[in-house]
Amino acid sequence: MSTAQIDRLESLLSRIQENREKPRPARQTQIEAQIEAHIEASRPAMVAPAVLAPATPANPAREPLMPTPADVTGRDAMRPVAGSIDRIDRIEREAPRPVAVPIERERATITEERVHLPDRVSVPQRPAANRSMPEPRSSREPAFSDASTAGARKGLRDRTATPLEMAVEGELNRPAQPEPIMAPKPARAPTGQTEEQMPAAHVAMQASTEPIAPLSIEAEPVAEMGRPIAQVMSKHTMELDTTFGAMLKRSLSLRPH
Amino acid sequence: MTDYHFDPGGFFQFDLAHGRVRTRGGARVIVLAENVLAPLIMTAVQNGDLTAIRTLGSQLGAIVGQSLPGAANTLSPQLVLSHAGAVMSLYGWGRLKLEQWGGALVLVVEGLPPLDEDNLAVAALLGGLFSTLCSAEVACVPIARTTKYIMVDPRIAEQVWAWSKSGDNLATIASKLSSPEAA
Repeated sequence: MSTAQIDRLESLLSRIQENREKPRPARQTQIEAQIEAHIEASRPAMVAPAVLAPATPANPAREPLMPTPADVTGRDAMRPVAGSIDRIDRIEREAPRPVAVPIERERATITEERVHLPDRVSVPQRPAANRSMPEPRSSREPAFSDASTAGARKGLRDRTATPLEMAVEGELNRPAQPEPIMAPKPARAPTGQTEEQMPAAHVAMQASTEPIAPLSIEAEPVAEMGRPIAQVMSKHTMELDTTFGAMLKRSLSLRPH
Repeated sequence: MTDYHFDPGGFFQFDLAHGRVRTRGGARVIVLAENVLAPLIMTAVQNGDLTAIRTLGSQLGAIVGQSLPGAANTLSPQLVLSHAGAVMSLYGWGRLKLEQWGGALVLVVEGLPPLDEDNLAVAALLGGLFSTLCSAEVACVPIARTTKYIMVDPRIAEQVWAWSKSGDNLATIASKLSSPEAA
């Protein structure tokens, strides 16, 4: 350091000393206090011990120049500052864990399930762009059947973001999906009505692949018989000279002798 | 007289739609298996009450009488037996024949299912049938170890039954009976 520089520094220090000895306006003191508070808030390592420190300030000399945040914002002195700093610290620690982590785990689970397919079954390979797409909710349901995986996933979601944030983020991160291949509409007879004019039940029946129809089971009618059900196999005849009454009367008149 | 044959055609009306079987006269009947009927008859015989079987015989006798062209007593034995045998066959009670042993009339029923050991049920059936048909009280006493039933006055039925149970054959029993005219 040269002599000229030393002289310049000394002059600056003397001017600073002179300025400190001068009386300051209240407005300047308030601005300095705000700047000081802002600096302290942006330095958590230095402020956090102050939260745990006793209410008595450690440095009374700085007291006039270090107003509490309550003086600036009108809120509670230390708790909001400590809480906000703690939240910032937590977000910084959890920042490397994106919301997409559970989705990645689910995708890994689905991949394991697909491995169990038989060897001879050919699985159509999806394009690489589609693999990064989130699976439909229905296809992901089996992966949630594992209680431990679901519990761990739930804990991660609770800590990372609110459901609204997750929903918005999912919508924003979702790539454009291709249009689903729709089955061709069956041809129907022209009725002169648009689909909106048709009855709701009729439209619903057209939408379903298998229309519901009542099933009635009735017994078949008895077919006409070619010959009678009752059929006489044989009959006998007897030739007698007298009447049946005369023979019976004689038999009934028999007595032991 | 011999031109009046029993016509079995359409005797039973099988109403399959309603599950009913009716006879020509309108009476509803139920077709039973013989292994179902046998225990019922055995129970009736053990209780000594064959009234139901005799009532059935009376119903059959009424059917036979309605099918005859006149009173059974005034008709030939052939015609009466033809109609009675036809009705018996229709109901499944075997084939009916008539024999004459001296002055005694003997009914023969063949092809019966095994019912009671002494054939008392069929005896009650035949008694009811011919009593109604001829408007006279008739007792048909079974001859042991045969398919024959002798037609006698109910007042001597116990005596004839005792002879049969003691082992007398039909010829012996017939010889022990004599008509007042012969005496």
